[in-house]
Amino acid sequence: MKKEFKATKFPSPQFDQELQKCTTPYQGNKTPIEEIKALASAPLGCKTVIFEREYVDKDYQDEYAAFYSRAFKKYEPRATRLHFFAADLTQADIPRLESVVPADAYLGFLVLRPTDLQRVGRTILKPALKNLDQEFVHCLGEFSAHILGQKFTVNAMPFIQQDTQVGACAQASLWMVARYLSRRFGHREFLPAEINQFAKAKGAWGRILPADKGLYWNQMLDALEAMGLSAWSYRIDEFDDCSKHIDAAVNLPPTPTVAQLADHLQQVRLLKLADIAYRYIESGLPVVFGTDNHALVGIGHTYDHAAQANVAIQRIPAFITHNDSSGPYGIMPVSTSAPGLSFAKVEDLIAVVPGEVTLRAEAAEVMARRAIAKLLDLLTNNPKFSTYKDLICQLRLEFNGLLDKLEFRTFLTPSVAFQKKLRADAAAGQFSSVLAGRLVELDYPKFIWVTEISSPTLLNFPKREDRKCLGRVIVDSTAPSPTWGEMVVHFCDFLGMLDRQTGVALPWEHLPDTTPFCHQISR
Amino acid sequence: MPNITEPAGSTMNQNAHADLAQEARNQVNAILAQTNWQQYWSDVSEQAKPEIDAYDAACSRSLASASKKFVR
Repeated sequence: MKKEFKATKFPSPQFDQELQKCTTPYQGNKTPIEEIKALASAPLGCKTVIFEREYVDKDYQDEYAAFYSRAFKKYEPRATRLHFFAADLTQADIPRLESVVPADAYLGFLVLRPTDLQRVGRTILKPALKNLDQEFVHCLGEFSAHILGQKFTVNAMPFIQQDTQVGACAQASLWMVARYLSRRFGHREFLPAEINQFAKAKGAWGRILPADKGLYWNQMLDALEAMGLSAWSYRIDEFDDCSKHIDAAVNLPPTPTVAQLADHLQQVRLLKLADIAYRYIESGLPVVFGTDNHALVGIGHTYDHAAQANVAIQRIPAFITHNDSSGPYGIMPVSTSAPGLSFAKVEDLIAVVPGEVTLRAEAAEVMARRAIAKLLDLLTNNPKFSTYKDLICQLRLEFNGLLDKLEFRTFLTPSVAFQKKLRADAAAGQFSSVLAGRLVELDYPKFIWVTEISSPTLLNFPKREDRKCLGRVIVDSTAPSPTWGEMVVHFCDFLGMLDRQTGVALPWEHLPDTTPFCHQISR
Repeated sequence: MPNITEPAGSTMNQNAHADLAQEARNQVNAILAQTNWQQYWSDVSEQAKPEIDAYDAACSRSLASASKKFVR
């Protein structure tokens, strides 16, 4: 039996006919399958879709084995896979795709399950980013597909629509998170029925299948734990006495009305939760967003360099999400006034981090904020400049004014990636080679929290490579929070290091003209 | 005055240290040398602790209050 492929122009009536054949009946929510029409538009510009029949999809096979094979209705065990290309291709091109498809023209694939409800299965599609200076999808892994032995790769965040029988939105979100992390950190892959089983293994929750009733929030945490992933849960109304930098950033009229107080509280709570999510997403770690009845996954964000911002989160107009009910790479505004599904509807978060990481992002940033505030207030015992802030402003006149309004941006990075970036920046003349050498030779844990300290003046540039920072603080991601986990402070040309093993403060140095430097562009 | 929108590396040269007046360098080094950095790190840790404890408590409450949340 020969493998069957069919190339169709996209969009075209022929494509519509082929799609109709493998999506009928399609009951339930059709939005994700209808969204693929947008692939024809810029910047992706899909021109050809190749249908791969009788495709053995490992995730559908798992769903089939767990549920569909046991149903009275006869379901097909194999699926159809659609491959998307930004190139004009014909049926005759299929055996020689490798030689005729230009680099970057493979846009990814989408699996259609032969079920009744919500057929979009494992989907790996390149994001359609129109402005690389304003749109950042941080959760991207390299995935590949083969057509007649010809390999095509694409950087994408995996997407799946709930099939309702083996998984609802909760399981779909967990699958997306786990599949991406398996690629990023080399974990094994987890299959849909397995994830549903993990979620329900710790309690007597009734029937395991069908799974159309969804999951309790704690069951999602149970599933993540069973998959060997570390997760932290955050609820919107529990952080009123935390994140004081957000309280300070949102203005309240001097004599507010009751309505203004309520609006202010809503705005502050939204920004505090978004601020927490932002640090993990910035780290390339997907965050599960929970509304009052739905789960979706935050994977990136947009960026407004010119925003009137007092804190970093105010430069983030929207998160980019994978929402199983609406499709991949959707935009979720971070606003209390936006219509539709905005971040204002999000009540809970689950942040998922590598198992090695035990220090939360917000704790690392608190340590960084305190390290910088303390440094600026530190007395010099010199009458010419009483504090280090005065000293810095004397040494670098151009920093005057910048130090009164600092913005902090924290993200987790593998220390090897950080070292590699330092080397590259030094080689390109973008960072002091002397300082890079000093920082590279330090002994780091596998993952480090990096907090960049900047100022609106240094961030308000349309091109991302022009945005600069005044320094950074590096914190050991495995440090118990009150144990001096800060390893490096490099700020306004001053460098301080703390020996993690002994807790001994190494002598600080002044390294002129080592700041500002480019802030780290997305992974 | 250097252009602060330029990356440090682009304006940096091997003689950056030499460009700073020797007297100023001596002053900066004297200030650095007589600062109690052990105390600095201790103060940083002490000041961070209440804020981190508040986050810890909020996360514990988050877990408890989300237990009845149901999504599908």
